Amino acid sequence: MRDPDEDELDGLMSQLAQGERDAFDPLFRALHPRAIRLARARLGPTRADDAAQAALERVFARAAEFTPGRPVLPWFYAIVANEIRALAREGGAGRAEAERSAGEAWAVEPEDPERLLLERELRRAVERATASLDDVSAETIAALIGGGARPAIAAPAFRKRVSRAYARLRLLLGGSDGG
Amino acid sequence: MEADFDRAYRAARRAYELGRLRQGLSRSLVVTAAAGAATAIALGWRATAWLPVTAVIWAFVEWRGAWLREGARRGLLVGMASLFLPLSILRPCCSPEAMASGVNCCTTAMPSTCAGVGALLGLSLVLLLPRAPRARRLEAALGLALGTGALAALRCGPLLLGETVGLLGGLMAGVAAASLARAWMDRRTA
Repeated sequence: MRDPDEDELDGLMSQLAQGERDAFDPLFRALHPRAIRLARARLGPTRADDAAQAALERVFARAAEFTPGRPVLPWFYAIVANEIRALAREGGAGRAEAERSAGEAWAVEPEDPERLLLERELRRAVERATASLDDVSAETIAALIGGGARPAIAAPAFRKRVSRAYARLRLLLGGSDGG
Repeated sequence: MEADFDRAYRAARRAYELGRLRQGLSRSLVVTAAAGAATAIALGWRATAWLPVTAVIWAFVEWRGAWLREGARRGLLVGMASLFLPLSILRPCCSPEAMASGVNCCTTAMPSTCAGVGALLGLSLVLLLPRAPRARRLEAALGLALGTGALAALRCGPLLLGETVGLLGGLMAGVAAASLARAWMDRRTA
């Protein structure tokens, strides 16, 4: 079966949020490998399956809260990344693993094809989420992640903008869990 | 690998249904509280005894979602209107004029009048039926009936059993007739 593209995924998630159960199967089949990929890249293969399952449970438990019309992948990755981070902390891992789980390190090599694919999709998810923001917030986020020039304003004003842009992005990604 | 997928699939599906149920219960709480306040104002505290019916119906409708919920949300409007129907319409012999002329049937059930009022209310729902795809019309009509019934049930507090059955039965019959008429009209215009 063909993997649905991003627009189709957005549509399926909107349907599921409204209670259309038929959308569950294709959506799960599309999101499951993505969750496994992220869990493997962050935690390594031994804990990936359990972490991905827990993350997917969290995603689908919150499906009814999804706002139809919004892009699903930024919302999905925000929840999954947060869940994986929480699971890694709960696991009582050492400092190195805690840092890795906090998103500061990867469990796979930079040339790993799965990691490259994941990085590309994560970048695209951030771009889609950023595109949904107002112009000033989008410009600020772009400047932060190296996708644009920093606006010519004083440092304290820029910091305020960053804080506001992050708050809006977090809201877009699903509230406090999206952080 | 396949077993892991199946396990994750079932767990995610269960989480989805529980998530919907949780949201349905919280929304049902809001609707029930609002309905309770409106009922207490319009009909007195006695009628609020039927509030659990509203809560259960609404939790179910929100959990199922889709066209059932779409229909039910519209049905709420009609249900709300039924709360403010004067008793003298549902039970004409209890009107001050009838009482003055010596007629007293306030202690006997008059299901036929209630059924008539219910059917009229139900028929008026044809205007509110959502434009669901053909395969989902029954679901939308059922939602409309449930949404209406969730609030109309509160009207039953001050009524006698026969009247209650009459009002709700009339409503359901009206919704069914209205849905059939709407389907017929849609077929003619298609």
